[in-house]
Amino acid sequence: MTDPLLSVDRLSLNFGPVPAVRSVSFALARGETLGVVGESGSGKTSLIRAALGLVPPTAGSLRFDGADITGLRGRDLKAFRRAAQMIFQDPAAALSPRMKIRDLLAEPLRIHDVPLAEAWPGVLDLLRRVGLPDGVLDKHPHQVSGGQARRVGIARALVLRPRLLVADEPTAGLDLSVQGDIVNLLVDLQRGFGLTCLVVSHNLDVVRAMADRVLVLYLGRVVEIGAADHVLRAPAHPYTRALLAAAPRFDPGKRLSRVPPLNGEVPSPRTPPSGCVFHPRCPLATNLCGAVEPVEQTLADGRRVACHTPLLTP
Amino acid sequence: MTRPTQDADPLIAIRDLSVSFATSAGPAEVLRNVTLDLGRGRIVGLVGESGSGKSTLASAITRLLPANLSRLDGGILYEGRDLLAEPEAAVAALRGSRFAMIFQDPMGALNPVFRVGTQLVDLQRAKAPKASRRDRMARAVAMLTRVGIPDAARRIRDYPHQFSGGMRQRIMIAAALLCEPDLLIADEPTTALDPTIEGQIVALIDELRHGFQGTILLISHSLGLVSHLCDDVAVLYAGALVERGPAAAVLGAPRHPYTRALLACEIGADVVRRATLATIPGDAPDPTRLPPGCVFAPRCSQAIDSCRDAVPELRPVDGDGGHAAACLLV
Amino acid sequence: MRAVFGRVWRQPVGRLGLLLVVAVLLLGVIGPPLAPYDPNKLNILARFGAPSTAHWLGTDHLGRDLFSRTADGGRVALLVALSTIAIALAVGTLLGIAAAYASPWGERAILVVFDIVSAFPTLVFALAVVALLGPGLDKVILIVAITLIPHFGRVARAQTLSLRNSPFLEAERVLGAQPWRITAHHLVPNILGPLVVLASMDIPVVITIEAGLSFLGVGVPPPRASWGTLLHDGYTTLSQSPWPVIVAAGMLTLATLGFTLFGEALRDAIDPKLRVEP
Repeated sequence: MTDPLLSVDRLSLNFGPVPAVRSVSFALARGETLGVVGESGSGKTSLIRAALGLVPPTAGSLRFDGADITGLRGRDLKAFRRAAQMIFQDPAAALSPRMKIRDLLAEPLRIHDVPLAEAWPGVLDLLRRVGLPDGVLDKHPHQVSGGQARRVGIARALVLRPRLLVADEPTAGLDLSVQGDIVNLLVDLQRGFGLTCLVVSHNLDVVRAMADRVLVLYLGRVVEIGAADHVLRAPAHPYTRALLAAAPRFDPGKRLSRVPPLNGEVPSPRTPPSGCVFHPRCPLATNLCGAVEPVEQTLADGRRVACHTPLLTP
Repeated sequence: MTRPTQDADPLIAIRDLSVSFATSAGPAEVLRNVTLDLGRGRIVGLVGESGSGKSTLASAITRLLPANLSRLDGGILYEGRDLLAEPEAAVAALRGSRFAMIFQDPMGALNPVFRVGTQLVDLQRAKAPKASRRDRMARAVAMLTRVGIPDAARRIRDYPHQFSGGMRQRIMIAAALLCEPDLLIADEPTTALDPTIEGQIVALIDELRHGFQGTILLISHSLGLVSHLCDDVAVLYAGALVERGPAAAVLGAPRHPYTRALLACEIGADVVRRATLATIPGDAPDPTRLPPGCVFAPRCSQAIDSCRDAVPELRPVDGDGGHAAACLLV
Repeated sequence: MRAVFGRVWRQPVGRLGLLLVVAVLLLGVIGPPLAPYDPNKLNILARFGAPSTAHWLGTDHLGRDLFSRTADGGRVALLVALSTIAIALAVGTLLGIAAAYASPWGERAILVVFDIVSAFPTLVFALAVVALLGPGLDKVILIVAITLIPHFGRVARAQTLSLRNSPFLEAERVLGAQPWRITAHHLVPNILGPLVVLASMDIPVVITIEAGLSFLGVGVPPPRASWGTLLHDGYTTLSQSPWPVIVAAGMLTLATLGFTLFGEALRDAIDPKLRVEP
């Protein structure tokens, strides 16, 4: 991959004594969509907050468009903010409650001193493009439906025409019939605006429908990263396989899934297990796994996996 | 295990249940003429999107309806009594002894200031008033072990906040089973859980059902969960029961256009990246201004003029197999 | 704003409070220019007059017109109350927000100052300041404002702490907004509700404190009228005429009652959750 838009190199993030992200590396090619999956406590949220420069990393580096973005300040930080936007998990909570939607959409322009008269027609186009009627402009966030609030959040993230869009659980809490709408919209916008996307979701189906590549996080570490077609169809890491088999899939006629559910729960990042952090829950764990932390290896199809006994041979 | 598909003597028979709430925009019709049997020993899945009235249906059975209730009509028959005609106190006495509930948020249902053991001992009072505290404690430990709490004898002395979300949901299940209820209502029991934990809870419910004599009403928006666990499925849309029947029939060969459209929205394992996903155009109707005729007609791709004239009756679609749909076109 | 006043008006208590508040405001604002006499004009011959058509509320021990003096005293009370609350609200809110965002040490320092200020009795503080600088309206305002700052500061800090990690504030950061912009446009409007309620509930407190200080002679210096000095003068000459005491005490009671009822109704109208159940 030449000249990625975002490259994250051995990024670690601690909250006090607790490591939330441990030496995560990945690169995001221009126009690509990377899905980040993992359970609560896997460090997904910390990772994207660090990637957007909202929390300073403890170690490692972040490069956006070739330039180091750790410790950016003032004008440079503002320029980066303009280029990297985010859709929040709880859309209604991410909209300032006392402002009208009109002001919420104008806010990004005001912050970046873009003349409103010039840019407003573009905002109205965007509003229609995300499927909102003009009537919402004079409403407050609590007066619109959850699906509409999400569309406002999407429009707001795109007002500044960013290059990188981070979507944090874009379909969480949505009904099935609306979930498809939002995924379709995001895919359409990604194409239309040539966006590079980082999509965080616990819903593997949503990631499958959107992502070119997938990164699987467990306890702040990358356990597997590779093309979505490979990782989500033939997982190489036992955790990825367990995650794919865990949630009951809609499969009329068929009863419970073949792979037994994973035992135990995600351990506390405060006291991570020795060796491979997944070994206490792994059905394939050997003595080696409890003693030695696996080194990431690259498989023939290009994916990277951190496992002593991957389900596929290198 | 083979169970009769159509129960001649259901545990609970809901008849023409209508529920409305008073709102500032006028009465909101949350349930309209719902008729549904909950068969003995069966797991009945109640499927619907937000605002479909599925939680209200459960609240109507247990009479935990909010204060702005403005209309409650029809009947809920249980053991020869109409629960809606009984005084509230009589129905309240059934909660915790004959009806038990599991919620999405177990923390909200467990009292944070009491030890788990104390709560599990106290709730057995209704069922076994004569049993000693020691016996009840022993039953509680045994039940916690059964639902998969490791080291239950020691952990029973812990407080709810000392358990993880998945463990709390197991405790709620143990609490419900200790009541030996006739009806267990599980309202979105896995929605707040991570997928691997959800998988564990699903496996647990699937395992426990064999030792459980009662009926389970499983309310969920997750078709995966319902298809894995349920014997029967009922589909609600905007307060109307649009389709019901054996799970394999309703989910395998759905007849109502809404059920079909909803199932099509589920993203399959074989989805093509960036392909357009199926959706249901339009929005669910405002419960204070329901459309005339079939409530789904405004969004239905097959709707004809007569769909807007009269509310369709639930009609059998497969003879006497129990599969019925409320659509003019079937 | 209109909706809030509508909700105040719909409560019987709020309606009474609002009417009293409007009456006091009218008295203080248009009372003095409309008053038939100069509030400080002596007329020894007409001293201790009962209410009459010439002197609507009677006259005091020096024959000054009580209505004119009450109106002037009302203006003083409102001036002191509103400017005090404005200062305390502004400074307290800023310090409270600063405390919420400060380092643990900075936060502790601000809170300790709050504790010291609120532990100090207002009256003793006032006597000390007057002994040092002499009496004066500006000093009354300053003293009372300082003692009220911790009130607003603590509430502002608590509100800020509860909102500090809200997604909508983080969303503004992601958009590139500067901290001052986030504070002024997004934080302050959302913490202001409880602070405004607190301010309206503190108005009667300030009116009472001002009257108390003036009663003791360390508040508004004579001959300027204040409800406190009216009360004091009437009290010393109570055997000659009850009217000065009745008028001054009555006004004080109606004003504090009005602002208290209005404040409670406002609290319920803005956020019923703020109500502390007895």
